[in-house]
Amino acid sequence: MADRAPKIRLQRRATIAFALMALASAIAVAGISYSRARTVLIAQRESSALRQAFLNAKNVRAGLREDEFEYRKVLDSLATGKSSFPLILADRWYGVSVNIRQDDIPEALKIRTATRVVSRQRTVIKGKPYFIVGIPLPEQHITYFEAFPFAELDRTLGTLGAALGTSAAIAAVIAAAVGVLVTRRVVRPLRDLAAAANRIAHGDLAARLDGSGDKSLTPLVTSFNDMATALQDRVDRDTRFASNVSHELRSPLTAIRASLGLVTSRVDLMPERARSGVELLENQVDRFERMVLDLLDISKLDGSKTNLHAEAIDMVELVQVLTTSMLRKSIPIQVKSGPTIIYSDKRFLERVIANIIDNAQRHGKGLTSVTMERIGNRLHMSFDDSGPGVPELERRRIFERFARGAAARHGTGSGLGLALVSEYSTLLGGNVVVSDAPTGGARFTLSLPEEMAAT
Amino acid sequence: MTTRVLFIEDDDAIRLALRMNLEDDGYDVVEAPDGEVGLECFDAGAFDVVLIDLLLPGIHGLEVCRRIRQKSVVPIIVVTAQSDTHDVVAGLEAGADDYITKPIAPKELSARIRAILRRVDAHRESPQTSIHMGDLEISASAGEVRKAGVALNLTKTEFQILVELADRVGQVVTKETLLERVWGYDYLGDSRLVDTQIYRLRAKIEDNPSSPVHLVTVRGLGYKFLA
Repeated sequence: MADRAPKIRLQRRATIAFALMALASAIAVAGISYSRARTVLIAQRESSALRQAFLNAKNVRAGLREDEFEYRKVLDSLATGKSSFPLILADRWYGVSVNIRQDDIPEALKIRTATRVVSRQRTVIKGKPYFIVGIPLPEQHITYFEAFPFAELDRTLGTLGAALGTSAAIAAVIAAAVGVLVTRRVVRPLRDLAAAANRIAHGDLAARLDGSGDKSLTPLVTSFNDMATALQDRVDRDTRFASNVSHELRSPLTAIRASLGLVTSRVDLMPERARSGVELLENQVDRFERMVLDLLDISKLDGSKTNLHAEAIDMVELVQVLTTSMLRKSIPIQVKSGPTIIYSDKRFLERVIANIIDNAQRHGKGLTSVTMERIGNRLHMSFDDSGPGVPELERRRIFERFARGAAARHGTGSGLGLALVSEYSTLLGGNVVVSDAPTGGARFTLSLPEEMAAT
Repeated sequence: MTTRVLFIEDDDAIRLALRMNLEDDGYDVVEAPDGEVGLECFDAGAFDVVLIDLLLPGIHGLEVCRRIRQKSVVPIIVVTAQSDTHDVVAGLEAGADDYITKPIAPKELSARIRAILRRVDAHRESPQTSIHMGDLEISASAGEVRKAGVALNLTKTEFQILVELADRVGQVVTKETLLERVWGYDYLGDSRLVDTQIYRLRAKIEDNPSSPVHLVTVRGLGYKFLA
């Protein structure tokens, strides 16, 4: 379907936009969360490290009051384990760990503490992050340092970052899925609209959109349905008009026929020329009547007011009855294969056969033979005449309304007879085609299903 | 004796022209332009057949048909605009024996009237004696049907359908046969004519018309009479 492509593209574009938007906002949210969490975590860790350092500095001072110059002993008594590494700068450096030595303390920190200011600094020692606090203890003439490894905090932040990143990715995927659903919802009314318009274009004027869905689409649905209703009204009005016109013509036509009857029953009393005039008049009244009836039947089809009634019909009998009553003679009917009984609507079928016989009479120098053949579940009936036949180019056109072949311009038909044949046989589930009869002339082949589709 | 026709039709031109045609064919025609006048005329004189246009000003043709049927078994032909409208079935259900569609060909109208009258004459001259079927007694010569000794008020059409079916007790009679023998139609008659008459007939002769024991439908074929 050609009109599918833009819709798909629209849907895909909307989905991608949705996903990108969601990804961007998820990244932004994750970034902000990460940096805030990082700040808070670091500040907390630093302040707790600071608190511990002060506490330990106090202990060192107390320890040194008891055991003067026993720096190593005092440091050992702090029992910090691996959670931090204390150092004392006195006449020289004293430490308890081989991990952290005096060289690892940044120069800037050493200089600041030398001015008797409590200082702290973050640094990297052997590739690992550390937080180092320096507390001058002027009474003892030393500076107490404590190095806190922050590797654990980094790991925590790394885990947090990974979690936030994953969340952002998941959010983007979910957003893409939601985007698909939402755009499908958005695109669905468009598809419904296209489907309804398509149905109308194919003759289903009753096609409407369901207005019970999204309220925001109500204006679109309403205007589409209004348009469809207006179109249907217009078509109905035209159909009704054609139907009314032909209906109204029935009464004057009855009066004309009856009046003409008074004249024709006295035709013997008339001079020759008046007699020809009456004959001409009679033919034209016949033609006019047929036109009115055909028009009425056609407009009935347009209005789809037809109700079909299936019954068993022996086609041989029907064709025999019609040829006998219409032509006042019997036409040979050859049955190649039977059965010739079908289930269909007799009154419609009667009009179809009568119009085929009538057409052969008018334009084909009369019906010559009828052949019936059952193939599968269809009955094919060929009606041959001895006329000039129908040229290839006109074989489709002759079944159109008021489209009359070159041979038919003698002013006798209604111009609707074959259109009715075609439209009625379609209604009955069959079809009709014209070809060359083997004996010259035209062959109208009517093909009908064994059983008319239930309506 | 000339056949007297009551013609109720509001279109002056049609009424005049068809009356003159019927007169040419030897009928004695009384015209009525609407239902009210039509009913008055009907009460005032004896008619052999009544023609009613269904679309009448004032009292609708269906109502005229119904009122005449209430007091008489006279053959009624209704004139309709279209053969496939509800009018036809409604007219037949209101008691009409037959219908004719506009535009009416005078010859066809005469033929229909002749057919309906021939039907009436047919039983008058029938030499057959009465047939007994359970509680039904059909007296062809008297044109009378009694159910449990009580005379039933059947129209001529109903009566002839009953006779056709009773003549072939237990056998299926197709709608086509009935159309041909009762109405004088060829193969192309309207089967709704038969269906509505059977329906009316059941209402008169069956104890329970919705589950008939005498007039039985044989699906897809026709009807049969069981004693």
